[in-house]
Amino acid sequence: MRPLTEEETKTLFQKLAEYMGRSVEHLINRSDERHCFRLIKDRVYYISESVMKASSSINKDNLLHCGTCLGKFSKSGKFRLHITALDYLAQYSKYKVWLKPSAEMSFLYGNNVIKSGLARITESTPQYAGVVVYNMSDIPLGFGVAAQTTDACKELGPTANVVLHQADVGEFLRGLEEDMF
Amino acid sequence: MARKPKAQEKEEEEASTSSSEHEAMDHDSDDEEQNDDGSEDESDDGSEDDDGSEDDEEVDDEEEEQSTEMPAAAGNTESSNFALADLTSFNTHQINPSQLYSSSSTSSNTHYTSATISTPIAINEDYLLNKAIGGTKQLLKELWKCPADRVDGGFMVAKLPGRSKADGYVLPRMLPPPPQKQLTKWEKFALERGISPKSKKSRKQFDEATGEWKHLTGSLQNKANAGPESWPILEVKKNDDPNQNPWEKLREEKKARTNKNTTNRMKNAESAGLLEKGSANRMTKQLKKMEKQRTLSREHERQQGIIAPAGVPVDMMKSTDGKRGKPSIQLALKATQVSTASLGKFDKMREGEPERKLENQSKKRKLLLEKSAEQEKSRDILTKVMNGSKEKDRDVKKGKYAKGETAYDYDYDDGLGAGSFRKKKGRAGVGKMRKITKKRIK
Repeated sequence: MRPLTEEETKTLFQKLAEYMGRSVEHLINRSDERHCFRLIKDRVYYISESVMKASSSINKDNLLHCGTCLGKFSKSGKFRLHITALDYLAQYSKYKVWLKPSAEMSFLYGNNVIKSGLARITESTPQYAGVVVYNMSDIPLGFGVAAQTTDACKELGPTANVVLHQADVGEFLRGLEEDMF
Repeated sequence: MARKPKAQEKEEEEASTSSSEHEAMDHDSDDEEQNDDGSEDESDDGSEDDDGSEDDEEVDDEEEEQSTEMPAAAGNTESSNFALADLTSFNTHQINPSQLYSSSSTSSNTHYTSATISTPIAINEDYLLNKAIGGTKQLLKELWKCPADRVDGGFMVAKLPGRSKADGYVLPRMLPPPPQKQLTKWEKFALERGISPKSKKSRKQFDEATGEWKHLTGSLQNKANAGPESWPILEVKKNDDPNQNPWEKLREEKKARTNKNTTNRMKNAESAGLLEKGSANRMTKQLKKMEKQRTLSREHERQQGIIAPAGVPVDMMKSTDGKRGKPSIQLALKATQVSTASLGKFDKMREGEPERKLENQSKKRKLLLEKSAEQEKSRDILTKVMNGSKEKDRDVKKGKYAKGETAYDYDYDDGLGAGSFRKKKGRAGVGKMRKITKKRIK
């Protein structure tokens, strides 16, 4: 367990800023307890100070996880967000997308969202912006990347991609297969 | 039919006049014999010609089959025109089509050509062969008529006549003749002053240093009399700058000479009209510019310490940062200390040797930052991230972001094509079709 280097922090914040924008600040400056980012074997964990202190007393080989895993760094230094970060992304997300009940299952299986499954989308979403995907009952289902701007979405055909899938809650079940957890 | 015996008789006559025997069936050997005759006895062949000319166009197919001597005679009898300067004889007599296109299929020497793919036409090769043989024989006869010399070795060489319109043909030039070579500047001067051209150098020259015969051009190692550039030690003469690399200087001088040569050649070509006007000047300017750039870059490299001054080994330059003397030696020692397989761990320490340490290991990592400090640091980084979006764009374009992480990597589906195409069927096709790699044993 070690703190992130500057480069890694920068990469992490850049990634988070795609989804949250300026609200990354809220992650750093919290009203309740101070939280920090730690690295365990390329995975980034967002943990409170007290938890961190406690976990520092555990043997390195025996420590599996602590706090919330936001994602992990690839061998070449690129950062990939995992579904476990959905909690915070959903809290502070800038651009949101709501799915129709018919399209939910498809998304939860890992497919991209097509226009016929799109119920609502926040205004002025730039193309390729980080987007959090919600249920009609405002339950976050996952996140992805907007394939088109909001205006362009209107002119699309019914089978065109509007949200490119990145992570969904279905991965908690599928993840064991795909060696994510 | 009456003709046939007559022709046969003539053939027999010819055969009897020659010393060799006459074989009826094999006309090839026949021709050979007659050829021999031609080269030895010119008088006989003369008589042949006279006799055969009557027989020219009156030979039938049947006769041809029965007596194989007839076509030979036909070839011999048709007189050709000669162009001895090109060793050519032209037989301009018309081909007898009835003989050419033999209808019989039994004849062994028929060759099938096809006017169309489906209708092959039989051609009597014998007829053509005989024509060719006759023409060759006549040509050789003519050649023997040429005046002959005896060349060293006792060989008789015929002197061929020159080409003339009397031959009946003149081949025109395919391409225009090359332009007259214009004298270069030097040649004009030499003519004026009466300077004779340089005597040609022999290909190899005796190299004093190695005592071998070497070529005049080549690498420094293989050149004859390579000169100071190849010597490992050069003296510093009175007027030389001691800090300048003498080999560099020599190379620069040589480059200057070659450039001068190029420009002079171009000027000569220009005045001769082979090059555009003004190209020589352009070349001069270009070369000067390149030279200038080279000197500048060399100066820059020298200052940066990338190029070693003469005498300093090249691998020292990076570590010295331009330093010479003791500091460079110290750095060299530092490097040498850890240049073993075990990074200098088990090597004996010498007297007065400084402590060994690997450069990267000595970096200490601050594991436990002060909480506030860390927070501040992260805040700073965040502001940089939020405000410095240019960097991100650059990084994205550079490819620092993982594939599939930024939308630049997506194959955008515009809804017109196979948007929901699944590459695999069944369970594997569900989801993002991620590769199932080895499970991590934790």
